[in-house]
Amino acid sequence: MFKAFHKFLMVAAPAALLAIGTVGTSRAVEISGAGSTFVAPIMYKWMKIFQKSHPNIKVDYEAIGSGGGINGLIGKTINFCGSDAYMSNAQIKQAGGAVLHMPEVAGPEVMSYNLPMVHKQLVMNGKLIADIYLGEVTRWNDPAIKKLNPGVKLPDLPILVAHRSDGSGTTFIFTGYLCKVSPTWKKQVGQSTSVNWPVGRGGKGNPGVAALIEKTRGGLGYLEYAYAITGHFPVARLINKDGYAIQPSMPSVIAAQKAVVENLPADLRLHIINPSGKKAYPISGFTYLIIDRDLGYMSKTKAKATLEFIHWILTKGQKYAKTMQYIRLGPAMQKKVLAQLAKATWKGQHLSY
Amino acid sequence: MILADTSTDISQKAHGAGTHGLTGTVPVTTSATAARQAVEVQNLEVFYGQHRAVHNVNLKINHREVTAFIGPSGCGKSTILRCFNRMNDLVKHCRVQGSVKIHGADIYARGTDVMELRKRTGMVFQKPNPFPKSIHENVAYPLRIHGVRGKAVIAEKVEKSLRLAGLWDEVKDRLHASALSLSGGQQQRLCIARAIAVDPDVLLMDEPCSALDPIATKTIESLINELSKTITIVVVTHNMHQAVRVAHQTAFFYMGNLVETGPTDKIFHNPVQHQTLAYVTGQFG
Amino acid sequence: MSEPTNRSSIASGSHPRHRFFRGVLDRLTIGLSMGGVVMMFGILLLIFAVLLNGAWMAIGHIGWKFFTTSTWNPVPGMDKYGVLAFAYGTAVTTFIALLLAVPLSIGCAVFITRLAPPWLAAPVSFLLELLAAIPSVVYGLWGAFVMSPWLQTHFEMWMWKALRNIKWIPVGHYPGHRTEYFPANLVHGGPSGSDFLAGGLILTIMILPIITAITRDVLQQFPEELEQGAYGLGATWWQTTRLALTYCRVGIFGAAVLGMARAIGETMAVVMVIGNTDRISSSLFAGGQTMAGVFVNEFLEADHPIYLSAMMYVALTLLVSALLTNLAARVLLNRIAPS
Repeated sequence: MFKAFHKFLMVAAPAALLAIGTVGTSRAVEISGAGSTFVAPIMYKWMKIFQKSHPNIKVDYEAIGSGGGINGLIGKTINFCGSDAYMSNAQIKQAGGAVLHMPEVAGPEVMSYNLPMVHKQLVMNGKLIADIYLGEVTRWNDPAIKKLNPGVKLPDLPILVAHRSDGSGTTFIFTGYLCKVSPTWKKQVGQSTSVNWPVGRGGKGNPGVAALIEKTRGGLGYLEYAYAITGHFPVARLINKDGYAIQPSMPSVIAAQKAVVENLPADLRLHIINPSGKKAYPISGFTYLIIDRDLGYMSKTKAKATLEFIHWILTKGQKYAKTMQYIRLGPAMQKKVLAQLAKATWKGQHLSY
Repeated sequence: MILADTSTDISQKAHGAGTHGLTGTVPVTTSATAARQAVEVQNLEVFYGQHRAVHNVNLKINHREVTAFIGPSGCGKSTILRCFNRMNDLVKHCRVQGSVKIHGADIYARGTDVMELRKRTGMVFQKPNPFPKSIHENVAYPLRIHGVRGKAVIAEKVEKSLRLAGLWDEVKDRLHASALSLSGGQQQRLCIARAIAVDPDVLLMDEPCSALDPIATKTIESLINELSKTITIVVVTHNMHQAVRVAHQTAFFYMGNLVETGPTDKIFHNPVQHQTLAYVTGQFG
Repeated sequence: MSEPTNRSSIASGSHPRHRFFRGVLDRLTIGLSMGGVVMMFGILLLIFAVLLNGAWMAIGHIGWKFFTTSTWNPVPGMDKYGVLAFAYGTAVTTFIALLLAVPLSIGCAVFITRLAPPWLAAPVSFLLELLAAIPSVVYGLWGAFVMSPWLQTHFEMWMWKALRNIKWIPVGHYPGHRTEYFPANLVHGGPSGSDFLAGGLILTIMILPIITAITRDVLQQFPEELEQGAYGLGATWWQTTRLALTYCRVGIFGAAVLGMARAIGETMAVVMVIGNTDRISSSLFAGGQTMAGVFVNEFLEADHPIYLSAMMYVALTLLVSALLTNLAARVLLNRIAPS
């Protein structure tokens, strides 16, 4: 009985949402996506512009969180999913075994801090960040920080560590970075959308973390690049794998993409964590469009429309990233992603779009 | 001259009580006539906003007698009664002029302790209004708010009051039952017990039997007779037979005026004013 | 038209057709209200069933340890789930909120009903209802960006300076064997602004309107006769007010219970200010988390089965504890209600 009820919920609720969307556009094809809230602002912009050139396709996107999007994909209640975290093997199995991950834009993460008395931009490295988040470095005038910032007068203040309290792809990428740079972190805490933080306080969403950092002198936390840039929060330069201190910026993130593009896994499931390269910024992730490799569960017109929309995002849509403070795909990366999209089929048949 | 209006601070404590205010002790009265008069009303006028409800009333109420106020609805009899313990202070836009003296002290004088005044002029209302507490606590309530302490003292006073109100035998076994479990007549007697618990000099009764059945009414009436041996009682009534049965003196009001006052017998059988005659013979009202 | 043989229609004095419709209406109304009751129970049962079903896996895996441990580690492979810290957070913040909101609300309600002149009472009442209508996320943002920084730099700083060295009663040990004293332990760790106190305060502000509004309505029911009766005996304004409050105690208690229910279930506003950690601390300045809070924080991204099931377990715990507190309140209510 519960199974049946579950099924009812999974099918009926999105169906009802879709039904609302159909009013007045009976001849247009409607496709729906759901997932990441991080990508929502640019997704809405893409939808608006795409609509103008493709009046016969109507796209609907529900920003319910990456996890919700993945569940929607597993339940086949949506046509595409937006997610900041790539799907785990277990999830892919649940979804039927074959999905396509297509990075659409990159999102770097920045370390923001609140030290109004320090006028020079701080430099940090992965080990230091991990130690701070492990609770081993607790004060701003710790020798480890001093060593990275010679000549900067650091105050004798406790570090108020802030992290995301809500499960998020941002945390997934950040903890992934910490796992990579600190074996202790990997062993004690690990990587996930939510973890058991050894120290610090949690804030809900970027605004919550920003509030925690802003509020107290000595605050430190990780934020999404777009949020930090629009809010003019001070950010640290991070020392990358090759020892260069890198400013988070569009060029440094594209450089990071370039660094990983040659060694990409075939399914494109990766975050750009600690890549080598002179100019590569160490922490960024992709946000993905995820679809079933075979779109047989939807009608042919819907499958076509879905592929058309994704193709448009990956090509024409890319130029809108900059104004929205997202980082576009580098040309090499873009080629790989389009090749991935080309693998999509409908009942075994390749569709033209 | 305006003596009091609603802006009077009812929580004011007595200042200079020696000359005007009620001080809680029996006032010193000098003349023999004053001794016989519990309440003396002079040139009393009451206004509700612009409306004058009581016109220039002059009245004396004898000590330890029952005085009945009669008259048709809206004649101002309740309003006058409520001047005697300044309950009108609670009515918005109500203004009182003239003077009301109780045992010689002007109760509208500045510095009058209104709480003390109300303690000494108990009031019983039209509808029995026991508090949603036990029988015992109802009678103990006025004692407590006037600072009486000690379980034994209070218990003794409660018993005395309930006996005086003729309720003791009926409730002595269930003093801690809710007062709301009593019948209407018992509730009204409880309210009387509550009012007399703090030994008032005057008891004001505002149509005390109008919500009761004839048997309960009879009980209350004989209680009024009994109580008048020690307390001055003013009873507002709609029921002329009641006035005849309980009152020594009767005052007849009409349209805010005091038409006639005198011994009850005279008012009902040999009134001076034709309006009084018309009323007591049932020609209007 | 009318049939003299139809005695019942004559007896009831109405036309048979009217009688027929009245019967249908009666039945319809009764049916609707019965249906409503059945549906309410049904929905509650269904919610319970869905949560139990969802939590089943976690109940099997974690069992009673869920209620006795406070570690919350959802990293796949590590998977440790204990609700204790969240239950503690719910209890502490709700307690603080009721402690502050109930007296304040009663004061407000007394002011509106018995003290303020009408020209003031009406706008104050209106303002109160306006406060009740503000969405909780707005309270949350205000809490995070306005209240919490102020709390940290002013109130908590003052409280910290006042209490940190007052060591009356030893109540335990901090890690590292330092003795923990009351009341210094309440401010241990120093002002942070994102803590139990902030969570409790934001809840206070949020439940104040509802408790005040109900208390106001209840106080307005205080009978005029009793008011007159008390004044007639020589009671002061304050004594009469106390009588009114005693008379209305059942209703006021009910208002507090409603406020409590709202506090227990509140999500967004608390999440914005409580610091969101899974720790149990006797310090009011320590970060914490509530059951409803962890749900709103993590449910959407709960990405593997045992994690999702543990979330359902939290929801089930919340539902059951809300039902139990309401039940306890009902029992208490019956005890104080006049017989």
